[in-house]
Amino acid sequence: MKASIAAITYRLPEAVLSNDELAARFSDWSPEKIQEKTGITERHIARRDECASDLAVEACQKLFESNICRREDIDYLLLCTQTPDYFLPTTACVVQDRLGLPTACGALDFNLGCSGFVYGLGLAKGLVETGQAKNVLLVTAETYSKFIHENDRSVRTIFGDGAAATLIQAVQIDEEISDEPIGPFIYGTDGRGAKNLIVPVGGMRERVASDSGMQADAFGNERTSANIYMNGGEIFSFTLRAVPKAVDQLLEKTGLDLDDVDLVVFHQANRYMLDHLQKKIKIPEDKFVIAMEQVGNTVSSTIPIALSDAAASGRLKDGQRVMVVGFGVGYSWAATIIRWRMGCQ
Amino acid sequence: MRYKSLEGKTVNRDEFVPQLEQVLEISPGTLREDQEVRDLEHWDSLKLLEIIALADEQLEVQMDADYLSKCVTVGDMLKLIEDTAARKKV
Repeated sequence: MKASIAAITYRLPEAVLSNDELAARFSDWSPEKIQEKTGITERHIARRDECASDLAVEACQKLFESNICRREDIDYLLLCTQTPDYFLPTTACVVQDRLGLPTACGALDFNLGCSGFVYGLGLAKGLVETGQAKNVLLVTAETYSKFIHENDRSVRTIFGDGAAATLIQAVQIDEEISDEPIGPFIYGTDGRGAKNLIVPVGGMRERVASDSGMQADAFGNERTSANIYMNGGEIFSFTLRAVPKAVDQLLEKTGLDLDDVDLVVFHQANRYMLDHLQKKIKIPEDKFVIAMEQVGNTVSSTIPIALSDAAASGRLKDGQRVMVVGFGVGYSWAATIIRWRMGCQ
Repeated sequence: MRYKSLEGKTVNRDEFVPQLEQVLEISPGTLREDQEVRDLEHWDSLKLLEIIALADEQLEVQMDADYLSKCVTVGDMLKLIEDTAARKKV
């Protein structure tokens, strides 16, 4: 049996943060400039009482409403988040109960950001192809907005909240005529970058800030040490080093050329970075997906959201090969190839 | 078509400086090396990304963003870019 993606749904919070609102706070940036530089017109922001589990549950409910699969058939729930409802219990356990998934279902959280979806595919493939599970629900759910200081435009202009649910099923594949539905994988980790995208305070190393004061950076962004900090320049340099190499390694491993790939979906970090990577790696523009204008950077959900939208618009069709590459906080990165065949079972 | 990175290139100031002026939104031919970066009219965190992108695109080098952000003058920045490109060549 092989693991194959059967469906993807996603859910965004109702509330929207527009460029007009941001421009009103950050007076030297016009709404047009924010749009031009980030490629984002709006981000969805979770309510104060709306957490990762709430978005996760709603994304999964949408998936079940499509009748692709019954709740009782789910035998494993993988939930990727860095903004869990609680330190403990595991958010996946809360979600299992709220969705009414079987108690025979395995469930776990894993803590990754922008690379999380691709890592989740790798974990799901392992579970399915070793016979441990037949229907894996991979949920990516993030509410980074709760970490963001309202006066930090370096992150506030970019990140949006959201959750995506991806169903990975065991399928019978004639290996003679078809490639792997998911895989092979390239993984990468470089913890030297930990300090460049971090929420320094709130975890066990420092539960409460010893200095609770506001810090301002050279560009006038304000935050406390309990807020998210992103060193945009270092993150950009990291992607320039890591992403082209990962793409090259993946092509080498598969024996494919970019010509053999129908669509390329990178983590939707920001438009400027994506445009630069597309040119640098020489990916034809018509194969390169940009899907962040209405959602922003939703961390681990950007890739499933982009895949879902590309399929809905007809840009992504059954039988096509999609390269997906996730990269970011950690640093952590991963890349794989998906053979798209939705709802095949 | 497989992606392959190119070798590092030597900085040709006659070619590079006009591109840097364009990124920094300075009139052509007016870039002064003693100009302080933070006093540049359009300087912000995105300009830093654009300079990193320019160095990557033109010279195939990935700049250390922290060093770059610590440059006081435009001349410091040019020198850092040149040094980084030269290091890659070796």
